[in-house]
Amino acid sequence: MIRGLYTSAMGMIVQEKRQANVSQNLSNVETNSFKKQEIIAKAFDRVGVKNRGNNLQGNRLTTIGEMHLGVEIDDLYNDFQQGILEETNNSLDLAIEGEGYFTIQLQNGDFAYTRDGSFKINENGQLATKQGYLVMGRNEYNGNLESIQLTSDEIQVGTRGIISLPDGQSHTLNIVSFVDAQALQRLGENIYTMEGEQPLLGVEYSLRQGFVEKSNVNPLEEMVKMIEITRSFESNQRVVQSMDETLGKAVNEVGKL
Amino acid sequence: MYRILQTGRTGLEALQKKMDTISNNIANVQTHGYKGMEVQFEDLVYDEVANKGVPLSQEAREKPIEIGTGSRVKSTERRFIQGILEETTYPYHLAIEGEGFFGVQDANGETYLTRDGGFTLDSQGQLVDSRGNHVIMDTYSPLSQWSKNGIVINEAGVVSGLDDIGQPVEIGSIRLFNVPDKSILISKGDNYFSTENLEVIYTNENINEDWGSIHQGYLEKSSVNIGKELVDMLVTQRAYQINTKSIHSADEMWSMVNQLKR
Repeated sequence: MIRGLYTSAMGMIVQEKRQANVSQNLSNVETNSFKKQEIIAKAFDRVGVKNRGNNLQGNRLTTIGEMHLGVEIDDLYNDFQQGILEETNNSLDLAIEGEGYFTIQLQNGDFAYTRDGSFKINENGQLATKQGYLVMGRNEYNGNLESIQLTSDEIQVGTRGIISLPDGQSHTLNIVSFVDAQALQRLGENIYTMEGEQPLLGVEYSLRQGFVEKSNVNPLEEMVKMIEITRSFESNQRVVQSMDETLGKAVNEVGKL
Repeated sequence: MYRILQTGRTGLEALQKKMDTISNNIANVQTHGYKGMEVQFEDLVYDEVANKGVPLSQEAREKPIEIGTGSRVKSTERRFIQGILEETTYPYHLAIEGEGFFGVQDANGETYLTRDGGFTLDSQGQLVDSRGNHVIMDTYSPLSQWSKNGIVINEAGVVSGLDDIGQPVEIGSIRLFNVPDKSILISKGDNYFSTENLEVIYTNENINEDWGSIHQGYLEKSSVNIGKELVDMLVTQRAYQINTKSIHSADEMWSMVNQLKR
């Protein structure tokens, strides 16, 4: 009976974490380029249940069957589904349609990745994210990966990331993709980092200038999930309560004459 | 549970800021030279779920399973897009088509930039804006002497007065200003902008660059697109509402936890 108490409590903890995740998704329903996450729960591995009893052969265990002893968090799934594109008419808003990430440089010099392509020109004339991280591009002449120096915001960006300025082309945006995008780690600020895998040059994408990619959170889906979570949480809570009642009876009434 | 409530709260706060911006834009839909603002969001740091007592499978222990902690405003910025020019035929109404700004100087000698060209002549015959601050221009001859016959301002900002036989005489020129990076401009109210570092304000005398043409007898209307703002308002309102639901849901769960022991 005590074991059942823990099984239900574990169910409640897992539902709580799922709700935390739904809240996170809903909190970012208006965050550009946000990708929703989902927590995947699974049952504990099954264990055999045996009964110890006395029979003619003496004291021995008889197998009754198998059961799960609870639920646990198994995985976190990043849903990289395309968000809808919204037109802004701002020449520094770039949206990736398809698979790919802009390469940016963090303050410590490491590269990180983002799909949030609403950029600005910083005080040194370089293309940067709104937070101030430099956007990386490949130099047209020597192929170096470097920050992109712009002379004006009158830029034309082609579908393959080639930046054309009024006085010619200089850089191509470094758009990358990954074999296992699920291994990307979220840093906040709409930024991802990747450890253990070298980025590949993106292929399956097309860049749209003057657009932003909206969040791919679907409010309806999250709402339904939320209903399911609260009810499932409630059932687990009821089970705990009724176990408490049964335990109460066992403790207080069984010994009564 | 507390974390979930906070996650919902961050969403509400961010969306509230967006709502404030939208209402400010809508309030300024008739303000000449007004430029609409825009709010963008970003997600907050992610937190590992692997606390004590959280059941995790073997695979889940090997990789970080992280849940985010909400959202916040990433940037609130003004979009300097051209507004529509509206004809008023009043000779001292000026509108800029292009990048630049008019400069005005208040009584303390403080310089501001503005796109609102609703100017007029003051009692001394100087070009002033609706606040009575002087428009920065070069004058070779007082405007008041010429105003009876009319004053012509061409697209380059050159001010000419008409003499008694209707011949134009150059009497001054209006300066245009610009900054290399408009995101450093600070709103000062009254359609004024300023920068912390005044050195980055250039006049078109120092730099030979085209910052737009001046149109006499026109005013630049607000760049706010009321349709877009109204749709944004609906979306923001609904997003706010759904975040209150997630808070409510977390609250309900917490209440159930409190009822565990009766």
